[in-house]
Amino acid sequence: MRKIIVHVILIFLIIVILFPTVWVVTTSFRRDEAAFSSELFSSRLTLQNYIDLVAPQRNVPVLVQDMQNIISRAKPFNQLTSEEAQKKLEDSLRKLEQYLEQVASKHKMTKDAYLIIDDSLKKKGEKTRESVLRNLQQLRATVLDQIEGKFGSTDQHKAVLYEYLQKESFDSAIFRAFKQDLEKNVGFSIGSTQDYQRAIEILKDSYDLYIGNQLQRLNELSARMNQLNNLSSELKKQLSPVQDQVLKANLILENDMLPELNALVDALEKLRNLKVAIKESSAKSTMPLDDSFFSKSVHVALDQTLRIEQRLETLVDYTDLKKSVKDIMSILEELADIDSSERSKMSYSDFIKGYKEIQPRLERILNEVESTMISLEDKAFVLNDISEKLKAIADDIDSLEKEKSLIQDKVKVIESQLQEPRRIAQLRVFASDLEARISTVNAISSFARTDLLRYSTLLTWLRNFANSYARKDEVYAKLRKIIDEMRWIEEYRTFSTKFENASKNLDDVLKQTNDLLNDFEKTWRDLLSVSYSGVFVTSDHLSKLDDIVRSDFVNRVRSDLAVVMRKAGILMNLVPFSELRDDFKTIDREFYRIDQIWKQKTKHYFLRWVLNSVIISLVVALITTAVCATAAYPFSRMRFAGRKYGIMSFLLIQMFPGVIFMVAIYNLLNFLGRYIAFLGVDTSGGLILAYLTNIAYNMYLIKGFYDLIPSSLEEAAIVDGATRFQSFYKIVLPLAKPILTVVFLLVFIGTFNEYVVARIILQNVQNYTYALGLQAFAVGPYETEWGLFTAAALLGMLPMVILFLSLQRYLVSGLTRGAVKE
Amino acid sequence: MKHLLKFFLWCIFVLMNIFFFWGASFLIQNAYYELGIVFFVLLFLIDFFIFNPRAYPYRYIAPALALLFILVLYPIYFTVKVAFTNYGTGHYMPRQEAIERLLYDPNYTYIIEEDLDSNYKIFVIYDGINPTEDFIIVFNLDGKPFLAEKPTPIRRKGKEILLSESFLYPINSEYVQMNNRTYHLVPWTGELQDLKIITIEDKAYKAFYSPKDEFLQVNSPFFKSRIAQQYLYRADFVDQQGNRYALRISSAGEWHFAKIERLYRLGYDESFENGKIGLKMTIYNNKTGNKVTEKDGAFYDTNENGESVFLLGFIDYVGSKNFLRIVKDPKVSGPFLQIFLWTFLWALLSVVLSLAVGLPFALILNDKNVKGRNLYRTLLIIPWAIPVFISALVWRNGLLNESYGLINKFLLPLFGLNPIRWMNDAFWARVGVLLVNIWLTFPYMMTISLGALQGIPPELYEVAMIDGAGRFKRFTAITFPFIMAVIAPLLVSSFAFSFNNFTIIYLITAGGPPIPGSTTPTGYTDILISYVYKLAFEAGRGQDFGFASAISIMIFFLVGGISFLNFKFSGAFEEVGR
Repeated sequence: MRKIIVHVILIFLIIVILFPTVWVVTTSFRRDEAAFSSELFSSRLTLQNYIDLVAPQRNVPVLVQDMQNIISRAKPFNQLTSEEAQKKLEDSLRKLEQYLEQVASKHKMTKDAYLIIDDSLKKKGEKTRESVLRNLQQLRATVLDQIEGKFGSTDQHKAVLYEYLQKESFDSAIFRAFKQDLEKNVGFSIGSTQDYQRAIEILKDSYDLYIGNQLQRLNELSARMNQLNNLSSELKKQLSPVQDQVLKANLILENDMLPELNALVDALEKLRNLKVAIKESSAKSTMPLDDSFFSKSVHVALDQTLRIEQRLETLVDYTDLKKSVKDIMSILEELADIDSSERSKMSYSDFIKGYKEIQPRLERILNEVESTMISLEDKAFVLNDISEKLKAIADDIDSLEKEKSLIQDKVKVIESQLQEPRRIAQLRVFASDLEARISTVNAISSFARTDLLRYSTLLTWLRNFANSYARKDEVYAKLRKIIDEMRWIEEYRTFSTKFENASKNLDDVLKQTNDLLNDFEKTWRDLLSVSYSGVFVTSDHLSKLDDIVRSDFVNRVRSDLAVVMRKAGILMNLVPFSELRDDFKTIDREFYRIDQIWKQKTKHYFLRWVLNSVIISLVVALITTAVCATAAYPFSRMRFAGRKYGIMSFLLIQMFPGVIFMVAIYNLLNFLGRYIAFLGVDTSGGLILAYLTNIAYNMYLIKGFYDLIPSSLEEAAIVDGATRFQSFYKIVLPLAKPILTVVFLLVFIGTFNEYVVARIILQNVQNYTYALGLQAFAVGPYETEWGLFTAAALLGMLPMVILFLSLQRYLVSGLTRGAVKE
Repeated sequence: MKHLLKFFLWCIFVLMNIFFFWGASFLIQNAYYELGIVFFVLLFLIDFFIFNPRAYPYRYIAPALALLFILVLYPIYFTVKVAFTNYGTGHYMPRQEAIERLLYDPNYTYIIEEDLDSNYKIFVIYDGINPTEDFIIVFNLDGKPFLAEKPTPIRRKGKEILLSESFLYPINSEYVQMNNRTYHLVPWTGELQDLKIITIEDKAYKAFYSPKDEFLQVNSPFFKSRIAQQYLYRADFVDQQGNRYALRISSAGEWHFAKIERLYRLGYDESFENGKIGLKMTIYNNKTGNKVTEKDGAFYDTNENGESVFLLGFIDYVGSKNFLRIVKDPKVSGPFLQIFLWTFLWALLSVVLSLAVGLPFALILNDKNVKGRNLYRTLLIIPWAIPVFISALVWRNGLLNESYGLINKFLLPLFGLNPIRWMNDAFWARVGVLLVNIWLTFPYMMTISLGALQGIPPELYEVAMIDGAGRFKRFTAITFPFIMAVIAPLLVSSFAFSFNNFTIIYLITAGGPPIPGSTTPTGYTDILISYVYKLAFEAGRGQDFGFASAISIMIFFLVGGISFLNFKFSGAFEEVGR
């Protein structure tokens, strides 16, 4: 048991882990555009991606372009002689004609297949209709079963009835659907508009009682709340300027008037001191002084401060101000209290003078304070008023809110009670509609365009109802089943319209092409000879043809072709008549071929890239193996200075991947290329040179193997007269063949898989290695052409994976001494 | 036969000597002193190996040594050197070359006679109906007719021609003697437009193009693209008085000949140094007479307003500026620190996580009771066997793609999750590259763990079982320490490898998404090595080889340090030295 679980887990994990590879394999055989497909895998397969990579066909666009180039003697045909050009053009022309014939015959095949399909479906129209009808009738039965006798005469039902009927007129479809229920509920039969209105009245009463009143109340409440909210926001708007003014007044009071008042208090205090001094002074004045102004003004000021104080009392804040005002008041009181003994003193006149100095300031500031206080009081009153109003409104809103939520709760309960009756009512309407639909289906006699349209509208209607139907019960299941079963009819409708369209346009395009080609055939020899007499010419026919290939075909045929192919792919599994499957397949296959013949394909150099990679890897592997094999020999067999640390230092120096020195290598090649063309940047030679750095580790591997070869063999050879080099060359090397093969293959794989250095050194697309080329397949215009990309990836990956797996043994044994691939 | 072979080998040896010697001298002449010295050293070593019988073993090593010197040691040296220079955009050439360019490049000339009455007519040899690039020119300068041959290059930089020159020979009669050749002008009336053909020996130059000849305007495209651009633009025509004429585009957009003069000339300036009077090479502007100044590795001229104008940069020693930039420039150091930390995190997580995936597989597959282990193992190794760039591209394009990728399109909706922005969100981009790297490297971890597991003596487990150790205890006390002891050095080298794993980062995210506010091209998934690559080779913001080299050296020391310690502690020194 445990074992099985282990296996299951392992297999599951391997599937997950290898999924990217599986994806690469399956996608490379896919015919559709995998990047845009909503399916992970597809059953419509092709080898076209591989053909496009390995043996690109000269299809119609290429041929047309080539012919034009031959005519105008453009590259790559500028070197042809007149005869060669003529021959080449003839060939191309013949090829093009072949293609056109092929397209025509394939098109004919698709038309035949389509006719068969159309015919047989028309013949089976009866059967289709029967099956649809049967389905619909079953549906009706299910629906009727659901609603049979379910519609009682409770309040809920009456309410729902009213909901449905309130806006209906007498004798409308919905009325008819509910007629019986209505009659049952109101208790009299309804034969006229008056009856109907009476019935509705009755229903309305019941509805209002049950839910309508509540809803109405709810509406009222909402309206009222709205109103109140508006009011409160209006008030709030008024509030802010007043608040602003109060704040400003406050500022003035605190920062402007208060300091002045305090200064005044100081001055008055001095005056008071003077007065005390007067009392104690002895010098008498000679004549009495007129101080009526003083006494009058002091009392006025006193009164004013009193008023101010009273006003201030009503306010909570302003303690500083209050204190100052109080001080002034008390001082003034003291000043006012003047008896005759003081009056008679000599310095009294000084006192009066002093007061006269202060008085204007006192008067002014007291006036200001008073007026500010008055306005402040007004504002405070307004503020108070508004906030009280706001509070009242908020209370109102609160209570309304409470009432509203209460009603809402009630309504919610009622709504939940209504759910079931509503569903029944919905089904009832649906059932009555279904009757009508069944009769339309009954009227369908064949499988022509109009009939397809009818089926399609029926399907849309069913789908809409399924989407609006909330419960997932048997009605819903039945509905879904019918929709699924009928889907093919809709798909077929698109298929047939698109097919006819594409077919017609294709005929058109083909005819134009043939006409142009015929004309061209009459003129091209002359044109060519004109071109070869040194005049630059182009063929108008060919440029027109090019237009057709590039735009007419693409705009008028290709998009429809794609739809037809996709729909055919869907229909071959969906159509209930399995004998038609082959015909759909034919259409799909032949259209795909036609599309391939006409399709404008992007140019690439895949074979060139692979060839570059293989050549570079082979040369690098060969040189590296040779150099390492010789260099390893003395390390294994001879004694010399540096033997012990030689390989070690080699290994150490080479531990740094060449990528780190990319600037240096690039520069070196750039410099070399100025003088030795084949070793420069953007050449295979330069890249090979840059790759020849991988020596130390391979030397070490080979040395290890040499150590295992018994040296007695060489000694025997040397005794026989061989030189040291001969013994190495003729004895050691052949014996070391296995390790040399391994090293060769390892270097080959390593070089083939290298990306960075190639990226830096190669620039021209034609010089790319496979690694760079594959990247070119994955970016830019190719980013979504997954078929081509995955096919290219698979072609490169397969030999490498096989090589790697077969060398696994050596890798694993070498690992304990140091990573190989890394 | 044997002698023949020996002779042949000696011949090769001599040729090689000549090649190395010539190469070395050539390199030194062209100011590539270091490479020249490398060549000389190699030459010396090889000769030493051949002539000294006691150095016999070294003969075998010589080729490897040569490759090592040229492809490893020299690049190391070069990188170190460049790290202390300003080599990069605007500073591509050595100072000597910059001076040559100032002195000879046609860009640095000025027209001294603007309204020169000049006309010219090109004559080419036809190959059948096609014109070839073999041409001669007839001039009419200020009413005087001249004949000039195709200019010959006199100053080159490698394959690039800096300047060509040709002499103007006055035409006095219908025969013009020039360089021991006689050109016959037919017919010669003294007027350019009448001239139809020029013959010399059996060749005939036909009238091809003249700016004022309407019949020949047909050939204007060929003239402009193949003759003017390639041969005339960088050519001076010199008459007997030494006046120079060159083809320039006039303000009306027409190609015409103008009398020109070099903008710069070399002069010597007296200077006082250490109390001695010395001569210092200076460049003067011919037009204004100003001295060209040198500042921050570039030449500057002074314009009429007294402002400095950048002329041409050259490679100059800048000291430790590149290294200091990493620390001092906040727009560099901030992102750099991020990249630096991420590089460590990336290498560490790559190793730890792929071991965490690989080890359980190894434990399961090590169980001899599991049937078909070899098949499972082979299947699990496949991700390792696929070339890295293919896997990276497959993941990038097919799985991680934001709009079409399988993960965003199929896997995530399955669990009701929103698409992940693999390429544009810093966190998820990092997760993405890590995911791919784990997928690629866990088979390696599995394989080495398997190898280590097989070396554990089974008695240990038996003893442990007798002692009553449970499954988990046995793993933590025996299996894991044992495996770690064996594979630890491999893990360290794996770390060092991940540290520089450019391919995955570059192919999947190209380092992106970019870090905002940086003056250098940085991205959130960039590791040091991809940062170096972007600095040096992605020309978007200009190349900066100096700065790139400085960072290369840092990587060099980091990786070297890690690997050295690894070698030291794993005892690889002893094994190799055996």
